[in-house]
Amino acid sequence: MIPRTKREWLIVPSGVVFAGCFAVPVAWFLVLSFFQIKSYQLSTELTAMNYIVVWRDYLDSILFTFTIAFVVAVVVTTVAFAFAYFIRFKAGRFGVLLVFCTLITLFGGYLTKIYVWKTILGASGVVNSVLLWLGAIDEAIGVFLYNPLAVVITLGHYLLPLGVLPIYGSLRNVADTPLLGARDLGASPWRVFCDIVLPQCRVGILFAFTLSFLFSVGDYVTPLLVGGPYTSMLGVLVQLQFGMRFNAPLGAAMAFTAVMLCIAIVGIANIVLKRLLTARW
Amino acid sequence: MHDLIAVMIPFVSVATGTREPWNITREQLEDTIELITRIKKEHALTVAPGYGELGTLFANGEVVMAPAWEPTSVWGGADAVNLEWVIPEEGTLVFVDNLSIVKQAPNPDLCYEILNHSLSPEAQAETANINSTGAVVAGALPMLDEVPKSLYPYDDIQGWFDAAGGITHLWPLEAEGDQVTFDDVTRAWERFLSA
Repeated sequence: MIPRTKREWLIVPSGVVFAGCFAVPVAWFLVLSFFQIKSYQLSTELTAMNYIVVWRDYLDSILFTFTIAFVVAVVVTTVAFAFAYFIRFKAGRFGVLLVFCTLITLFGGYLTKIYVWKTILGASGVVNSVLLWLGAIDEAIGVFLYNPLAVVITLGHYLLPLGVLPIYGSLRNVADTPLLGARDLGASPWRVFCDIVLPQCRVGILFAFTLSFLFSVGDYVTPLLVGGPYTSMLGVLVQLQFGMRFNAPLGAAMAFTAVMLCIAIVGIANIVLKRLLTARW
Repeated sequence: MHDLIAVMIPFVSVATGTREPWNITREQLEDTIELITRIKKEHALTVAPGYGELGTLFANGEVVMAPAWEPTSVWGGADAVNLEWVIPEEGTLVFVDNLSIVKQAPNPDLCYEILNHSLSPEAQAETANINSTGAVVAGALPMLDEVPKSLYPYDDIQGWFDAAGGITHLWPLEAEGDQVTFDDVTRAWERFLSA
């Protein structure tokens, strides 16, 4: 057994990796976001101009990105909760199998899933083929793909397992005894759900929302491949700063603006969930 | 296409009529952005992220026309819509890929060997046959397959260059008078993507 005084040293290797590979580069990017590019040369004179440019020139893209990400996060969290609830309380001995199936869907690359949805929703895809076969349409229609809805569907499918697992973890901690006790004392199923189940899995719901929201905000591949002309997610424009405009300070400012907004929105989500999911007794 | 230069150069000429799309004013740049934004909103299915993806779109019959380059017209395969490439009357982008040896290269002799090999008829023909791209040495022509050979007018290369407007320049890095810079164009391109 490792002596208590030496246990703290166990964290050193991961701490060094975290500091060297994450904290230091992020700190450098934060500093970089206050520099400027002038005539393709880095000027180290400190200025907040990049942040002004972000809010002045990229507000539409910020709103579009965060709206899409919010919709994805809400849809994923809702569906994930329903599925996790079913596994915990309704699936019985098949619950473990369903959890395993959820994990299985994490296999296969991210791009593979995008192309799966292109195959399903495309002009020669499954949906159009079925509709043609049923006679519902005369020729393939293109409304299923290359729009924001396709982005929400594709991202939602990819993120669903990441939403199910934390919520299921929370639901597993909900003991059966208080549920049965409440029912014996005359509480309706809805009251049991709202006052016992939901408050105890608030953290899981918040994790599911946060994971899916953060991933959606940072994603730029999905909108490029299935978003059609609507490709202005912030990630696309951040990537352009580094890859095309040679303006790393502006790209860093855009990234940090997104990070700050994410922290604010997740904080608000936490407050709202605390208020909504508090037992009323 | 998510290819700023390949889209902007020909569309500047289409929108403004100039044969020097790299030498334009802010007004001409705005006219171009307005045109391609209108096309995107009213006619385009998508802005393809790459030429390979564009080939897939052609193969699936999801698009029938796109600003692209010659090989894209055959990358869709046999199932794709029947495609032909055309040069806009106003001219288009003409570029020549090149390889460079940096001054500090530790093995310059090997670099020359690679360059000489890549310019050999055999290597040119192999590359062209695999990618359906152009061959740049006459000795490769007898070894070309039918498809890559039919894509390029090898009997009138000069006429082809003339029709396209000659080798393309790029926008200046530094502003000169009212002339837009490369950065102005990239910012305008972002506005197009965001529109």
